[in-house]
Amino acid sequence: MFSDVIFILFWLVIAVFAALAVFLQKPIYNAFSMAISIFSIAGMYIFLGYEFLAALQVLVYVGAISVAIIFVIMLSPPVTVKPKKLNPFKVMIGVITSITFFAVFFILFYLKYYGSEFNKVENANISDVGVLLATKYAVPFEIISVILLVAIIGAIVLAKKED
Amino acid sequence: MAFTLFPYLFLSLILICLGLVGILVRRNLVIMLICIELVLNGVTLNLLALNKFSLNGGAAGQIIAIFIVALAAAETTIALALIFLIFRHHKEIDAEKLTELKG
Repeated sequence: MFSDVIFILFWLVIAVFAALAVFLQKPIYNAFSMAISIFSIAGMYIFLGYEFLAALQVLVYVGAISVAIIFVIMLSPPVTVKPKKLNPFKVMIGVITSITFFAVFFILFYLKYYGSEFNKVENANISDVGVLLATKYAVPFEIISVILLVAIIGAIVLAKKED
Repeated sequence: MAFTLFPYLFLSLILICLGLVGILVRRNLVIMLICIELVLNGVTLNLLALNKFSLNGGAAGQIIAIFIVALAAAETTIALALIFLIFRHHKEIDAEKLTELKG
């Protein structure tokens, strides 16, 4: 019962702050709303039983990605542009696309999965994940590390001031 | 409620659709990047809920989720560098006005 209340609270926080992250007007507010929403998704991972992924979510998304976005917003010089009128035709197309997508998948999930419960089995613990990462998934793991290195170097080269 | 599948799928669907409408409607590049992050988080939540449901939280789904997080970090780094570069050249980050590639 108590965990249900906490679950609904997390659920609502994620949904509301995701909506705020999309529809607020100033980018810094959007970035902070996204940080709160993503932080609460770590709570969802705790409910699902993935403790390591929850820690990873907080470390990487809130600790690195949100901070990077907020840094870029704060480092840019202020521009005073009036918020211009959106093209109502394009807004309508976007909203209709999204609502259609939502309706199709909502019906699918509702018909297929409504009321189905998880098995009362413990998740694979983190030592299994570590062993698999070092044996079966070793090559993708190394490729991911190379991708991260390339991203770091690429970001530095791109953002360097040319003279 | 926390032990049924449907609320997780519904929440991930909400995140994906909000991100989609943000990418299609908003014209600020930083906000579009934020919306891409929301979509990626919705996808990861969906993957992990279904991994718990049908594979009892097996290790392979967790590894794929770790890969998604790492790729999202790389993607955000590059995208932020590009946005900063575009801002320095054009003094604006409105996607409607960046039309030089259209020819």
